[in-house]
Amino acid sequence: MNSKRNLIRSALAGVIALGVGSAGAQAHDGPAPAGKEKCYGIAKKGQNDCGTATHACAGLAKKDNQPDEWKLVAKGTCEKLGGNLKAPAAPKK
Amino acid sequence: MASARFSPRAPDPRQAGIGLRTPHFAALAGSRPAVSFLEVHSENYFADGGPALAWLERFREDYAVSLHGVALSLGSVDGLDRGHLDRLARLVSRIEPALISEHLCWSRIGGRNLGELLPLPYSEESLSVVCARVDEAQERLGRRLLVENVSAYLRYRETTIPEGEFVAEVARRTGCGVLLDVNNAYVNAQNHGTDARAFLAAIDPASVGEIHLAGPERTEDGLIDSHGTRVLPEVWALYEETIARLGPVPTLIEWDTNIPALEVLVAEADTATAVLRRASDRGEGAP
Amino acid sequence: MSAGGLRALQEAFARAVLDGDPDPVAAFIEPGGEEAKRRLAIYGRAVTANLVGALRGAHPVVLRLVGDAYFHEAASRYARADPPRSGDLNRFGSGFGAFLEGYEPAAAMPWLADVARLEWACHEASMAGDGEPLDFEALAHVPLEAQGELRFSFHPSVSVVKSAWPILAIWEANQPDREGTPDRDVGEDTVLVWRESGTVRAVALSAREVAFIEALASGLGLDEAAGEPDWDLPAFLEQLASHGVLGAFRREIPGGPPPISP
Repeated sequence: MNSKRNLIRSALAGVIALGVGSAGAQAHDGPAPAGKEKCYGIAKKGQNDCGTATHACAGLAKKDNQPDEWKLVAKGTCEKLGGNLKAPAAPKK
Repeated sequence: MASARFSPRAPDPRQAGIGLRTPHFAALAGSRPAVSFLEVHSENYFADGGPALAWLERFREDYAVSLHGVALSLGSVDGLDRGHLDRLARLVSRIEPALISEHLCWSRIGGRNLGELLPLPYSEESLSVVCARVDEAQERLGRRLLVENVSAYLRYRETTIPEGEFVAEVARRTGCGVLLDVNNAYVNAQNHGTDARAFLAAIDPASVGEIHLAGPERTEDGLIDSHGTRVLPEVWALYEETIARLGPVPTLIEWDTNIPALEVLVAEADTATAVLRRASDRGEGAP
Repeated sequence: MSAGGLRALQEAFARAVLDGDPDPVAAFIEPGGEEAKRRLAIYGRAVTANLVGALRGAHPVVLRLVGDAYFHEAASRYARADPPRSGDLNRFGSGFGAFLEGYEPAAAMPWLADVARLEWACHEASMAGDGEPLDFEALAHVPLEAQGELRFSFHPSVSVVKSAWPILAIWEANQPDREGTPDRDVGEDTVLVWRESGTVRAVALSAREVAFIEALASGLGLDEAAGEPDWDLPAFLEQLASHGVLGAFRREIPGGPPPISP
C-alpha cells in the first residue's frame, strides 16, 4: 500500500510541477512540455460553413450522371491499406 | 440585453459589411479591413465552446456582428424547434449581435430537417403560420427579428398573394424587420417572369433593417442563388434604385461558394459602400 | 389553399426529396407534370448536397479513404434513411458510423465504420464546451493524506473510441499532410480524443490507461482508479494534465457521505 501511496504522491507532484512557472492554472492551454510528447496532434479543419444549409452551398448541385457501379467502389486511399489490415483473432465488441 | 461591459455596436449604414466564413478568419484578424459589420450563420456558432466561437468573440470586439440563421424554419407547420430557439437565444446573449435575421421559408417537417431553404406558398395560411413563429421567436429572444425573402426555383399553385405583399404583411403584423435580399428578388423575377421592382416597391421602407447582395450562377435550370460570384450589374442597378428610395441601409455582401480572397470580398463591399455614401451625401430616403 | 393544405404540402415535399416519391407534391407545383418534377429535382439535389456536405465536413478521413463518388452514395443513402433531427447540420452524422457498419458495399472495409466513429468523436470534441481548467495551485494545497481520494473530471471534449482495428494509424495516415499508408497494419486501437488549445487531438491508449480513464470517469478516486502500482501512473497523469485532458477536481472528505451516486 505504501508503494501505491508513493505512486500517487509522485504522480501529483509531477502534475503540480506543471503548474509552477506556467502562469498557474493556464498551463491547461500551454504548449506541450518538450521531450514528453506522446501525442500526435492534429488540427481539425475549421467548421464547414456549409454545415448549416443554405442553398448557396448546394445551388450548383449538378445532375448525377455517374454510373451506379462507380458509386459502390471505393476509390481513395483505402487502396493503400490493401488487404494487409489485420483484426485481432477474436475481435472484441 | 447589453451588458455594462459591452454594448452591441450598430453597423454604420454608410459602410457595407461582409459575410464572415472560416477561410477568412486569419486574414481578417490580420488585416482588419474597413467594413462596418460581419455576418455569420448562427448555427455555425451553436457549439458549447471551441475555436469557432472563440474567433467570433474575438471579432465582435472590433466589428458589429449580425447573426443570420438558416434553420429556424419560420414556415414549418410543425412549429418552432424549441431547442433550436434556445441555442439561438444562448448565442444572442453571448454575442450581443447588432442584427438577428432568419429566412422566410421552411426546412423542417415531421421531425425531419431537410437542410435547405424551401419556399412557402404565399397564402393566408402561410401568413398566419409564419407570423405565429416570428412572434414566438421575437418573444423568446427579446429582440426584433429581420426576415429575409428567399430565392425560389418553383412556384406553388396555392400562392394567392404577391411575394412583396406577403413579406410586407409579415412585417406589419409582427413588427419584425425585413432583410431585403436584392439578388433574390432579381433571381425570382428572372426565373418566374415577375417584376423585381414591383416586389421591392411593396416593401415598407421603414421596415427594412438590412440588405443582402450576392452573385448568382446561370444554369440550365435558370439563375441559382449560389453566392459564388460577384454581384451582377443588373442587381447593382436594382440596389442603387433601392437605396435611392430607402436611404442608406446596412448592406452585406454574401459569398459562400468559390470563396475568394478576402480582398475581393472587401472590394465588393466597397462598391456597395460607394452607393451608400452617394445616397447619404444626397440625403436620400427616409430622414 | 384549403385549411391544413400547408401541412400536406410540406409532408409531400419531404416525401419527394427524402423518400423519392415526387408525385404527391408535384400536384402543388406550377405548372404540374414533368416541369414540376424538374423544378422539384433542383431541390432534391440541393437537399442531398447540403446533407452530404455536412457529412463530408465531419468525416474528411472517410471521404479520403473511399473517394468522392463512393462517399456521396453512402452519405446520401444515410441522409435519406436517418435525416437530421436538428436544423443545425453540425450535429448531423452521429449515426454515420453505425450506418457504415451495415452498409453492404463497405463489407470489405470492416474498419471503415470505426474510422467514422473516431471522426465523429473528433467533430464533437471541436464543438464541446470549454470547461474548467485544472487548478494546479489548489492541487498543490491538497494534504498528502487526501490525495488518494481526489476525483478528477475531464475536459468536456474528452471521449474514448474503441476499435478492433488500427483506426488511429489509418486516421493519422489520412491527415492532409500524409499520403494514406498507415504506419502499422495491426492494432486494437483504443483512442483518446480531446481538444487542446482549440486543436482536436487523438492518441492511442494502453489497456491500463483506458482502465484508469474509465475508472476516473466513473467517479472513482485517484487511489482506486490507479489500480495496482505496477505501471507508470506519474508519467500518464502528467501527460493528461499537461495536455488539458484533466479538468477540475474535487476532494472527498473521509467519512463523509458517499460521493458518487451509482
